[in-house]
Amino acid sequence: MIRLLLAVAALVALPAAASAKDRELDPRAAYVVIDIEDLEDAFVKGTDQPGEVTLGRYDPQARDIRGGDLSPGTALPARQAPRVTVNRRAVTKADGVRQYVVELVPDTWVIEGASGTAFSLGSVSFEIGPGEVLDLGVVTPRVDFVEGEEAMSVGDVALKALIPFGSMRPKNIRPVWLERRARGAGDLPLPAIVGQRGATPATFVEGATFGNYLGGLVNRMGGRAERERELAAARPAEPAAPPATAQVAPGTP
Amino acid sequence: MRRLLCIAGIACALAATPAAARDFYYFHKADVTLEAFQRDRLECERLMGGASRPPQGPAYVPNNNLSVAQNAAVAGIAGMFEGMMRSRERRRTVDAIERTCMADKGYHRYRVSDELAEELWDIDDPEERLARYLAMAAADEPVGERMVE
Repeated sequence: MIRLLLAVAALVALPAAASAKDRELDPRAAYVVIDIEDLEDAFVKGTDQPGEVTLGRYDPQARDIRGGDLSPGTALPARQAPRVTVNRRAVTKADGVRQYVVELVPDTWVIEGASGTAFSLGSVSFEIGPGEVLDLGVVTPRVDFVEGEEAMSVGDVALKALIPFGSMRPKNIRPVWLERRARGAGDLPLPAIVGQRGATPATFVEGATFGNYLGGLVNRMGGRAERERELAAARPAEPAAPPATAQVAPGTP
Repeated sequence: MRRLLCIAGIACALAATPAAARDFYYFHKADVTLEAFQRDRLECERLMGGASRPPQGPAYVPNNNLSVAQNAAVAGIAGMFEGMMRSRERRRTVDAIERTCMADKGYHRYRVSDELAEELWDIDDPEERLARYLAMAAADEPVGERMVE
């Protein structure tokens, strides 16, 4: 009986060992580590779904995804995809966050989109070389509501369902934006498979723009708030008010 | 250019709720030039062109209790409604892309009355229509009620 149990245990352990071996990093290949937090549903409050991020190979000269409308000359061979969607085979899962290690072809890459929205209006790019492991940090996709809009509570949804011929759907669909931060003390540590190699924090270059190849909505990565900051900075400055004259109270030495 | 002249008319969006009327609106940015307006529109159009249709799938699974002709008729009706829904979904996506893109370029959206929209549509000469639209888009003071993005 003990032999039988040992044999079963060995059989169960085999696939796990093979899977762990698959996840060993190739020292010549390039990898990124990224933690993606969940996306809160745009329709009902409190319902989350795993976030996903799409990385695209970027042509910084033509300012487009390789093979895109503005960069047809950099189209990749048929078997190479110009983008990788990060949403499967997380190496670590914790409450509300999943950690991924993704192999990339050494090149200039851009954060092309998240959870169905393409960041065509403004994103960040980074370069990765052979044998490098870059840490992209922690990202959180969020619905880019306009002021006053928010997801409905379950009670609101139930009330709305009672209205005959009323639509349950919001009138306007909203894109997603992506909050990004460097990995900190409260975040997941780098995964064990990175091992001795460690991971260098990625150096991002702002201002990447490109076409909409994800088929859905578009936005800036930083969303409406980033746009407002940029538009405010571009507006001509108001004429400065004359400096207030310093008044000295009588009797002051 | 001809395409630009066509799209430069008052934009029309079908609201999501069946009870809601059609919204006619235009984009306004004070002092925008014709060249800047054309450039912004073309950039946004390029992004709008990226909106894809949802993946196609069978709209109707044949029922064994119906004849071939009955199944074909039901499948045809189901396909028609499905096509309408898909087309409407894509329209929603394209409209949302347009609003986000134009807002990103500093434009605000203003609602116009049905009468004004009709008046603009009735202008046969595309150049005249564009001039009228541009005058509204670049006016110091926008006409109409400002809409959410």
